[in-house]
Parts: sequence; structure tokens; C-alpha cells
Amino acid sequence: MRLHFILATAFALALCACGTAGPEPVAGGPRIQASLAATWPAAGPARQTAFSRDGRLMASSDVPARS
Amino acid sequence: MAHPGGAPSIAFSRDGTHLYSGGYDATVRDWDLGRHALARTFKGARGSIWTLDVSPDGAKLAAAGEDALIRIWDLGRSGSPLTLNGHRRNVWDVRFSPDGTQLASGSFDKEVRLWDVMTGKALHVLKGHSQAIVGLDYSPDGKLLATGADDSTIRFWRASDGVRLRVIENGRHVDKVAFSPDGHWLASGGHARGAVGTLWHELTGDGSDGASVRIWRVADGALVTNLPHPDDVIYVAFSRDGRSLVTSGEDDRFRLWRLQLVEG
Repeated sequence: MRLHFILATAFALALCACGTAGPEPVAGGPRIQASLAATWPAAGPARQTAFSRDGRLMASSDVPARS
Repeated sequence: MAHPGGAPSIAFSRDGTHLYSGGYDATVRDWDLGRHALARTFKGARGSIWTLDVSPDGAKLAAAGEDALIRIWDLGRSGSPLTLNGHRRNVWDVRFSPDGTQLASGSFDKEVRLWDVMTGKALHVLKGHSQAIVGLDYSPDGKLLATGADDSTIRFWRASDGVRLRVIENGRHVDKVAFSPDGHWLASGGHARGAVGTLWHELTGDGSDGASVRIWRVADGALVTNLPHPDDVIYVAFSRDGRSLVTSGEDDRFRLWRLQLVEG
């Protein structure tokens, strides 16, 4: 009985962990294609990026790495 | 430039010579980029600073976060900030309107507020999201406000009077939305899990479906692109020329995407 409860709880948690599918991309009309050009690491979970108004500078911020 | 404890929010000055960082230490720091030195520190908040924005004319800096208050400093002179009081919980995002007269704020209290920047009065309170509003952005022409929330929807509002125009079911929590510079596209980033799923993710590392960045066509709200991302996405930002998108997230990496328009 206890094992059943644990398994049922684990199954319920796994279900909750999944998101819903959401919409699918449309095929018609103008659209955007994207290709990955570069990646770079952050010291921890990456947070924000900001561009200067003239577009020449980009800043990024992160938070301390998880222990 | 090391903001003690980490900086969840940053913003450039209008002329690009200064960078402002909002930190977990409840301060906003003004960094002189030419000297690579701290120029001044704005204090007074009573909690983490989640969001910053500089007004289009470069004269004002808005900051908000954990203490539910929004502070607007006049960068040209010293003194106390204008304080906007109305939200009851964390303020996750603030954005000046393109003409600089209005400020939009989104909060854990499920409300969006539109403020008069000169008087500090709330002009409109936008209701409809059923969970925390985490990200928002004005369209470049200032006519639309887009909001993204933990209720897995993106909403478009008329900025002049706060009337809701469109609701998009995103199918996952929305952490950030950003209009492209031409106003034709909206990028969103987020995560696919609720609180239980987040706990599961922390325990197992499992639970990301690898497609957390999306680009939407503003004209009709259609999804046009899914960008694969290995983990939750915290932030999305278009470059000034609209040809690139930068995304960041919980996988501890930044990603630069090149964008290309495809005519249907």
C-alpha cells in the first residue's frame, strides 16, 4: 500500500513536471528563421543582456554560481 | 564590474558611457565604462532589484524589485527618487514608453500598472493575468504593450488606455517578452514547469522540452519560430538592428541567434 502511494506520488510529480505542448509554428505568411551564431558562458545562471543605443555594445549579467 | 551578490538587472545610459546594475544587495550601481569604475550608488530599496530601465531621453532611471515600490531617479541631479506606490508584491519588470511619458510595471500581484512618469500617479491598472506578470515591453511606436506571465499567456494591450487586445496561449510560463525594433515580431522566453515541476527539475535535472524561445508575428499573434534551448530561458533581447536575438538562461550560457526574414 505504501509503495503504491509512493509510486502514485512520483507519477503525479512527473506529470506536473511536464509542460503543455503549446502552439505549433505556422507555415504561411512572413516569418523569421533563426540560426545559432555563437554561445558564451556565464559565471552562473545567466540573467540579463542589454544593448547600447548605438548598438555597438552589449552587456550581460549573471548571478553567482549555485553551490 | 562586480556587483556584490550578483546583478539580475542591467541597463545602459542613453549615450552608452555608463551601465547601471541592479543587485541582490538592494542597490543600483552606476558604472563609468570609460574608467571601469563605480561612479555612484543609488540606495533606499529594501530588497533585490529585479528590473531597471532608462528613459528614452536618458534623463531618468527606473528601478523596482522585491519591496514592490518603483523608484525613478533624475540622473541629472542628486536627491530622492520619485516613488511609485501601488503594487502589493515583487515588481518583476518596468519599461518606459517610447515617448517617455509613461512607465509600465508588471508584478507578482498579477497586475500591470501604467504610470504617469511626471506625477507618479497610476493611470491604468490592467487586470486579466491569473498569475505573476514577469515580463513586459512596449512596441517601438508606443501603441502596444505586451505582457508575459506565469499563467502561460502573452497579452497585448492598447497602451493609451489599457484595453486588452489579444491573448496568446503560450503553453508554458513566460519570463520575458521583447518587441523587435521594427515592431513586427515579439520574442518570448520562459519555462515549461510550475512550482512542482521546478522542484522536480532541481532534484533530477529533467523537465525541459528544449524549445523555450519563441518568436511571434505581432500582426496576427501567430507563432513563427521555436528556438531550441536546453534549459529555462530568463531573458531575450533583440539587437538594435533587429538582425540578432540574444537569449540567456539557466544553462549558464548566452546564445546569439542570427535572424532572417522569410516572405511567405
